[in-house]
Amino acid sequence: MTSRLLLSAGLLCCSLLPGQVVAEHLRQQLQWQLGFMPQLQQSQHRLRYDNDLQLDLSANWQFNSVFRLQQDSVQQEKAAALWWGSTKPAVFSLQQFRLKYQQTQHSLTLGRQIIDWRQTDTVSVADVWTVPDYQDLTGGAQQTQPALRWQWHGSDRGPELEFVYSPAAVAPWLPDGIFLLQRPELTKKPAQAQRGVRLVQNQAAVQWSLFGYDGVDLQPALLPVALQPEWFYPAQQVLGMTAQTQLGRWLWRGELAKVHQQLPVGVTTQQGQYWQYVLAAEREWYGELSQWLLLLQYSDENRRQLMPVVSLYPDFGRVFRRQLLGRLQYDPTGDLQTQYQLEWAWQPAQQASVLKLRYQTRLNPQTELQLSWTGFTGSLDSVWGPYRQQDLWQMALQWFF
Amino acid sequence: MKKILFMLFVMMLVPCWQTGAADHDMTAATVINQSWQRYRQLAAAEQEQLLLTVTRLGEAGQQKQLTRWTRYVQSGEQVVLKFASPAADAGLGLWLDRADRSAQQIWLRMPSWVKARRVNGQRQQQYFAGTDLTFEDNAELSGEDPTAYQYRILDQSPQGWWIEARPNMGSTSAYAKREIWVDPDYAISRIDYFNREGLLIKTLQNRMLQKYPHGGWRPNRVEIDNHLEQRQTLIEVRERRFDTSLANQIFSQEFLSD
Repeated sequence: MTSRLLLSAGLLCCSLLPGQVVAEHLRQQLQWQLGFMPQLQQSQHRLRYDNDLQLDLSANWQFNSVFRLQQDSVQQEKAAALWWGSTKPAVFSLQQFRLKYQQTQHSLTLGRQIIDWRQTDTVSVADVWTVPDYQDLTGGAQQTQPALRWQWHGSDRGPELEFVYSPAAVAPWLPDGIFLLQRPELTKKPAQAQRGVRLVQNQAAVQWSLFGYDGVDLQPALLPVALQPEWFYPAQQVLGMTAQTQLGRWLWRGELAKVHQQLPVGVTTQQGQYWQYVLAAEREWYGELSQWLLLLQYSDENRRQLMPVVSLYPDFGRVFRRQLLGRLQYDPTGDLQTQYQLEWAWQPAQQASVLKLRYQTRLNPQTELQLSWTGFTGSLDSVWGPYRQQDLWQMALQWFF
Repeated sequence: MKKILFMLFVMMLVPCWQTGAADHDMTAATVINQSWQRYRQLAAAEQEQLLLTVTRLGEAGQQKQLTRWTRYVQSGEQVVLKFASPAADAGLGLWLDRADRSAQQIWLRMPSWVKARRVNGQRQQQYFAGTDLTFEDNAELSGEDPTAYQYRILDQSPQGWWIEARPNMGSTSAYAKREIWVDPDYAISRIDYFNREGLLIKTLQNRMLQKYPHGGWRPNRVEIDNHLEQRQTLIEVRERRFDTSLANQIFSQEFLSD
């Protein structure tokens, strides 16, 4: 029913479209990536093409599509991933496909789109919409959601209000062979509808937001049902707030949320709730041209009133638990040409950490080179430990055209 | 008697006909205020298509295309820049939110980032996107906060005013002083920027000044010669539109991510 409604709304929008294009922006990117894992003596490669097209159909109408062609040496879906995505990276995938109508104070966006409520880095309790890629936990890649989104912008620095509705969520990509030698195929997709509302306000130097979300936890639980393990997506409600402000030379960011979850087990429903928070401070130093950036972040959650059922699959939410994150970034010329970055996430209680070193430079106006090393430590029951055989050297060349 | 009255009337009118430069009573701050007031009176918001050419000494120039949106609000202004080319810069965006100048916010979106991110508001002296414009310069291309500076007239003539601007104590300006040339129509024609050692860092010249009825002005070509970096940035305005219809959508974090 909801899909039909969305389709009808889409057709109605299309019938209102003007017949010509006012402006066209096409951005294409080709990336060739090589990786090597010394402990496993394994190498991997990936070739990826992204096509990002934006059409301004009039001052009010805008269309945007991003599709991706990808070939890599790790396991991937042979078929295409269209509207509802896929359970692993696909040869052809639709990253974005959306139509936006905007007026003086309102805008309406329909289609597969990025909805990003995050303020903090790497881990965020406000990140309820983006679909995480657990195959590359440190990479930051995310999938988009099919949704209908209405936004209202107040005047000047006035408030912004938005409502989002998505008839069903896109499934995340889960790692294979790390937490279980062979995990059962994730064929089940989250079926629950998602709804969200957010209010953003700027007051003096403080930007804060309040949000509510009713939908699904995109980190599925693997439960033993009879003799066969099955995937379940817990229903989830999140109430939270974010704030950021500059105090002296430090930029502060914070997020706090209360999460309620329900999981059907047999004929009953198990319930759980917990609080999570992230607090971050960031500072910059400047040389004649150069620029240093230091980010310090701490995240934690209160003791979960856990759902009694133990999932056979790991809880990725553990990245929040007593985790310190530090990032040091150096740009020698301050003109985005070259950047060195060191990022370290450390969970002292579990003696687990992930360290990432990255060097990025622009070879010419069309080409960028990235070199990186990612290393993991920790026990097998920690969140980072199971990846410790997968320390990774990477080189990536990107062409923009 | 009528002739005498007419002569007196004409004598009273003569000073009004003359250009502002002849008004020796104007203070430097008044001239600067008048200049920006006339600049901002044209519209509440505007959109410009810009072509930037950055040339280092002995190297070929590099061109960048971008759109700049500016909105003027009572106590400040908001500026959004979005790059369309070169390809590696496409998607690079900057939002300087100085609606409240005492609580400036800077939002940056790098091409590889999913969304815009707020960055340190004191990132004033850093050059932006390989040009000779710092974050501070980008904001002050469409207005400056007169309460943040001490102004002094260095010279005045029928050709206009030559004014020195020094930041007040506590100001976050990256410059020790600027020297500003204002023409008789209150249009700024040139600015020299000096560092704390008193060295001339760069010179900005507003060319092809377009004058509007009732005193408004806009440069259609801006040349910035960076003497320290031996680099020049040339800004050519390809198109300018005074349009406020979508202002609320444009001056937002969301717009940078679109």
